[in-house]
Amino acid sequence: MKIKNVLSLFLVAALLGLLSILLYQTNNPSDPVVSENQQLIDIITQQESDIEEREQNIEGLRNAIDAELDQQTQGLSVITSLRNSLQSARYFSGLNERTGSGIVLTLSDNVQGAELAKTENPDQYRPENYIIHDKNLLYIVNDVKAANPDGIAINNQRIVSNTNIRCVGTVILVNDRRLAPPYQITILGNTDEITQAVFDSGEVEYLVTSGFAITYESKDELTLPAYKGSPNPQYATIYVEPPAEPEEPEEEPVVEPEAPVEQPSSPDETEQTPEEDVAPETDPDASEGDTGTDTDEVTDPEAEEPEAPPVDPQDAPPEEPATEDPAQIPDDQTEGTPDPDTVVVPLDEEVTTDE
Amino acid sequence: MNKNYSWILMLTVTLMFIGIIISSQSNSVEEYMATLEAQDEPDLLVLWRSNDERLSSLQGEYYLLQNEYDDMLSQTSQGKISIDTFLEEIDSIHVFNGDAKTTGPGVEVVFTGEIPLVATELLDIINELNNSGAEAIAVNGKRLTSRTHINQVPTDYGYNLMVDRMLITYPLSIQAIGDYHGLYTGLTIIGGIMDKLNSYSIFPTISRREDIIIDASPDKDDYQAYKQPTE
Repeated sequence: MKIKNVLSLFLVAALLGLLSILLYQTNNPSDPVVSENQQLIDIITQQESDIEEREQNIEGLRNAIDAELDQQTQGLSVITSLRNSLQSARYFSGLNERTGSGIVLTLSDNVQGAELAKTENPDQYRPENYIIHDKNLLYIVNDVKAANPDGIAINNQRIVSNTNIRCVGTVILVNDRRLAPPYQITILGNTDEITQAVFDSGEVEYLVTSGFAITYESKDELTLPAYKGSPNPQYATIYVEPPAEPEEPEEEPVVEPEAPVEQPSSPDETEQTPEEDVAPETDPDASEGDTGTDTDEVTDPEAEEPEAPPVDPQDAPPEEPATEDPAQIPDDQTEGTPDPDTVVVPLDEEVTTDE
Repeated sequence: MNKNYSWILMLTVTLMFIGIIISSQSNSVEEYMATLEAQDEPDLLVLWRSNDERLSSLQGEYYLLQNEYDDMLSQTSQGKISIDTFLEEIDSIHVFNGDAKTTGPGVEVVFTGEIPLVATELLDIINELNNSGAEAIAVNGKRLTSRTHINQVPTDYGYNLMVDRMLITYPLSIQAIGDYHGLYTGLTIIGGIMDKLNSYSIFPTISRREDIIIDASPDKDDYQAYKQPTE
């Protein structure tokens, strides 16, 4: 009896020891592959702390600029109104903190499901089925936007117009910042509408039925952090309407009748020579020859249609009704039919993904 | 009897320990999965590159703000005040936020609609464009903003795609302004979104364009409701 007791105790202790070792190894991996990557990990960790420091510096500078502006613009009504426009623009684009009521939705990995699957069906166990993915966050964020919220953040990363949500390995990045579970989605706005949007969300429903732990909490006062990245675009600029074309001094062609005999030589030459030069040589295979001439040929005949291509016709009145009609997108944006607004890079750069 | 009792007690305590260890093990695994140590080398390289890009973007922003601040101080010392700072920043934010008509180089992706897209596919494409550095995106001319909602509504013959309650018809055109090499590569990367769409027999046309023009988002009413940001 005694021996039996000792044996059982020994087994239990052995199991305990094994689990402790496993736990220790998980927290302190000394695997050779991990050590090989250690240098890279150190660099990334350093980068992350640099990013954080830079973000704080930027925030500090923005505050300093604001304070300076405040001081400078006291009593100057014109500047004050400009300043208000700037503040309002910042506020609505997520560059300032925002406070209000809303809900916090918390998503956690399905740890219990994973444990169960591991013990019951280890062969078919796939860990990726039990963790929250970038797509889950992306779709939930989109679903709650149905409630027209005032602002959204995931684990303190503000969702702005160009926020990206993606994963690298098992890590989720939002605004290029690494997040760790649990994922807290903070949504500001009308609590009832947001709650309804959460309940209506197909993605939330999918996660709940798949056994993920999702909780939500409604709060009267929540604060969304400001977006820490740069709002300054490098490629996009404000569109400036081209100067209105001079009315109709184009009537110069009226000069044509003046010299009917010369007509073939001067005016036509400019338009027709390229065609004539190319046509006899390339006409037989006129399909998709070399890019340069091809694009030229394509544009010529079409140039007759949009002869006066007003870049964006009557956009001058700023308060046009919302362009709700998708039909306004020209059909001719596929390959080979360059529209007058946009220069299509030669055909070899035009890619259709089909085989 | 007494001996038996102590044995049961011992076993209970031991099992409790095991339970605690197992549950803490599960939690550790969950946390561990999101650590850098759990990532493969290629993933770490992607993270490194992504951080590098972000850092240089922040660096640029920092120098810009520093210059702005220095200019401001020097002007103040001369008793002047310039509104250029305001105007430039307002312009940048309007472009960023979709409140201004915007132009720039980029890509255009056109879907003919023989096999229609579902809302999640459209979201994936837009997210991929954002991943690749898009600065402004429009779907059938509708500028996307931070509040844009994309969904699909069932109909008798299938479903309709909607972007901010606007019906999206085919040909569906997605225009994105940004570095077109980056945007193009992001879309067509092996195993990426285009491969996924191709596997569903969806073959869009991707054009690189020099001069995309995207209208301002019509949803500007918020600005009128604006009072004062919370401090």
